[in-house]
Amino acid sequence: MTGLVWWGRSPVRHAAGVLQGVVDDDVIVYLPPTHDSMGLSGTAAWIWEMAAQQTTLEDLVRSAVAEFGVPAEVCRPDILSALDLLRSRGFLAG
Amino acid sequence: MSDRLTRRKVVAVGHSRLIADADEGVRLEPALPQDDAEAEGLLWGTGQALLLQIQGILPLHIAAVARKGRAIGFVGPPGVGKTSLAAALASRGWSFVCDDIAAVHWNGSGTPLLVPNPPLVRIWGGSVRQLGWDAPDELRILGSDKYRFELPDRFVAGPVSLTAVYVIAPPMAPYVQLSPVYGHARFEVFLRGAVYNADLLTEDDERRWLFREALCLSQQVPVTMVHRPEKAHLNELSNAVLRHAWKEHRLR
Repeated sequence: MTGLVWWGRSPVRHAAGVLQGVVDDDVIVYLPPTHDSMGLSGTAAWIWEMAAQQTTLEDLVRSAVAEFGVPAEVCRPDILSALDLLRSRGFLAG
Repeated sequence: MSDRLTRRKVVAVGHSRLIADADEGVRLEPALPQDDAEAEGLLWGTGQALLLQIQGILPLHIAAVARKGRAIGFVGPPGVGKTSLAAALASRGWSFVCDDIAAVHWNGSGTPLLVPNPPLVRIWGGSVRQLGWDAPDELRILGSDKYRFELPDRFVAGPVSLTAVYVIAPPMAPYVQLSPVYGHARFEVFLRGAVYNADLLTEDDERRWLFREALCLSQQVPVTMVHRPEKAHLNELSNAVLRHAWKEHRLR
């Protein structure tokens, strides 16, 4: 359920063993144990890049506000949605 | 990082076991009669694919033709018409590279090469009739509506670069239409759709290797989806592909 599993200081980082590459404008992530892949663009690709070094939800929101000039209440739902999707598929740890 | 690939694979097929060994080759246990069409299909298709995989060579499920050292390949589900479309181009001056399976090698500059197969083509009877090929009964594969042609003069002599891949979609479109495949969808074509027996790669090391091969292919080789109606004639399809290959890849 969106937003319930993340809190401000919970760590956001790549899961162990995820492979990645770029095809055209998509960041491709692949998890060998599940043979699952995703193509990330937009918010998801930006989060993925930020999560290469461990970060947090609050840091992501703060960075999005600073980088894209959007209010926190606007970008937070998008970030939470992308985090949920990436974690539910096993690409983010936690 | 170098991944350790399995050197021997055993797959159960009906009452037999298909054994691929990097040192000993591929065989069925117990052996089936040599003229058994199922045995030939298993040894040539799945068996060769397993053998290539354990040698660290990616097998594509592809029918391909070439001109002047550059190949275009057709991929898609079994029975979708890969060989028929390749044969239609072969009837118009292109040379066969492979029917059904091809080994991918990489040259020094990172270009994928398809290595030609023994010059055998297995093709549907309906396609043979559309193409006007002479198909005596003795070429018919027992228990199937396919014909088996040996065409040593119609195959390329050595490896050719894989310039473009066309995915043949099931026949559901109102007319023939070609559309480019980008990004993640292109990667998925090579990760799952175009690799022979990708589902038999179950170990993490094998899948890491598959990822790298599929990623390199999707970065190097443009992919186009071929949509078509059920009644599309091979000439109409091959005309559309040839126009596209010339316009997009300067191939003819």
